[in-house]
Amino acid sequence: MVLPLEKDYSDLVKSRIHARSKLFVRNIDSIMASDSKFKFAQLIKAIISQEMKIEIWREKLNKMRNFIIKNIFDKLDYYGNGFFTEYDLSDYLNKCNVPNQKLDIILLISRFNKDNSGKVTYTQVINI
Amino acid sequence: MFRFLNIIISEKEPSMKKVAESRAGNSFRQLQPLTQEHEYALIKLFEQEIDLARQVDSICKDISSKSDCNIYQIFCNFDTQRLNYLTLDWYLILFIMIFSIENFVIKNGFYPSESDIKAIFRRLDIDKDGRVSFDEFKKIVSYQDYSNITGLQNEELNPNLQSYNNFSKSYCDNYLPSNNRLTSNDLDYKNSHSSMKNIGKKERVDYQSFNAKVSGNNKGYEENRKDFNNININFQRDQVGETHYSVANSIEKTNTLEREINKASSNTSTLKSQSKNNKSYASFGGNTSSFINRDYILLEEEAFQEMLRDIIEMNKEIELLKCDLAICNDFNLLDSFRYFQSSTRDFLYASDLKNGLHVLEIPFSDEEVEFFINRFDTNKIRVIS
Repeated sequence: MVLPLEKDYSDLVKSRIHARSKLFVRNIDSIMASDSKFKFAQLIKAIISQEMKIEIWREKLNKMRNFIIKNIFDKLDYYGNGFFTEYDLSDYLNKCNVPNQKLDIILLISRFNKDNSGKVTYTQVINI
Repeated sequence: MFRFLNIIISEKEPSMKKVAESRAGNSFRQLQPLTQEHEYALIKLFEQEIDLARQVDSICKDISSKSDCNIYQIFCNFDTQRLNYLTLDWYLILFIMIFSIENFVIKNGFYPSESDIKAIFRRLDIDKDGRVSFDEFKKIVSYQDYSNITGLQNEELNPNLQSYNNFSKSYCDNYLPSNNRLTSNDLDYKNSHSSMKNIGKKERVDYQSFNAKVSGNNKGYEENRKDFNNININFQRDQVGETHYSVANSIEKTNTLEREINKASSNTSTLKSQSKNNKSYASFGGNTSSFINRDYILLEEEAFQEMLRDIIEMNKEIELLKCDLAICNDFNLLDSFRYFQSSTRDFLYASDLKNGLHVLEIPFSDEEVEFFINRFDTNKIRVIS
């Protein structure tokens, strides 16, 4: 949830030793400095806001009379394997003129593909 | 143009109005399509304005048709201070507002709030000078065909209003392209230039002939409205489909045959056909709102692509925030987890999340917490490990 995808940054965070060993901390205000706490709050806020925006999109798509997930999935699954990978997704986005970078594709796939297999199946798309 | 701005921009927030006015109008001038949300909101706004205008129209017609109606007398009922104008000026607010408009409406059994009073005043004060003169009042209360809105000058208008109209006309001629002058016809014009790609419906409506009919924009409001209603009926016929209509026609034909065979029962059959036709028309929906309230549907795939684009943008933003947080020396995973951890458990329930959000001073709703859990709950057991 809070680890960046870039390895250098994530290693940096993982390498840090936590403040109060493994004991339960009563005074939670003393865990982080106010600046870090503010940034952490900003991050959580952004995640919540993202989820709500995606929910609005879901509702919008579901209201569309001709929206069929299978049709969209078939376009993503260009070779008809029953799943699509980050390469398929990248091709699809390029065809649709949606600007994307490798990092964007990985983040997008990680949203669909919760088991980290790199292959997004139809069931996973429905769950999104 | 000024009237149009007054319709679409909120009066409550002057700063918002300034921001909206100051935006570059390239898209408007070049007639580029609006976004779906903006277009839909505008259509809703116009629809409500049309409804309101019709209601006011019918009431004004009612008042004007009464032989004992004297508009100056009505005005004097408001203008209790005999200033010859009504005002919402802050210096006079206690005297004028309370003793003129508010006093009048309270006397008649309507108890308005301050914002109601301001809304009434905003409608009455056409030239936005903070005062409602008798001419402005007369213009609103008395029934007229609104021909001056489409550019025709009324000789009986007061000099101020005439100069205002001249100014706005010269402003439009000099600074705006001719197609920026909006009339009631432009509602149709807007729809025919819709950004929606599934606007194939417009082919069913004979827009071209309609536009050719009224393109001069010199007709009065009433004439335009009649044309609009005719087109509306055509559209409704098309919308329901020719099946309904052919059924209605066949019923009518059958009834005509029946009339020929049996003259004695002809009256009854005519009544039957009329009632059936009325029913079928009623099922079409007999008001303008059905014409305006079309489904604005983006092409499905385009919408999906737009969603992916949005997700990519938001992911980027979140990734930046994560990197920013990673640089903070005192930030680490376990400590951040403790903001939400209310016991020694290694996982979080919804209640723990809510507590954590309280501590972090993040406003939230139950729905948001549910979505948050759904996002990170890989095992579908309603907890975050």
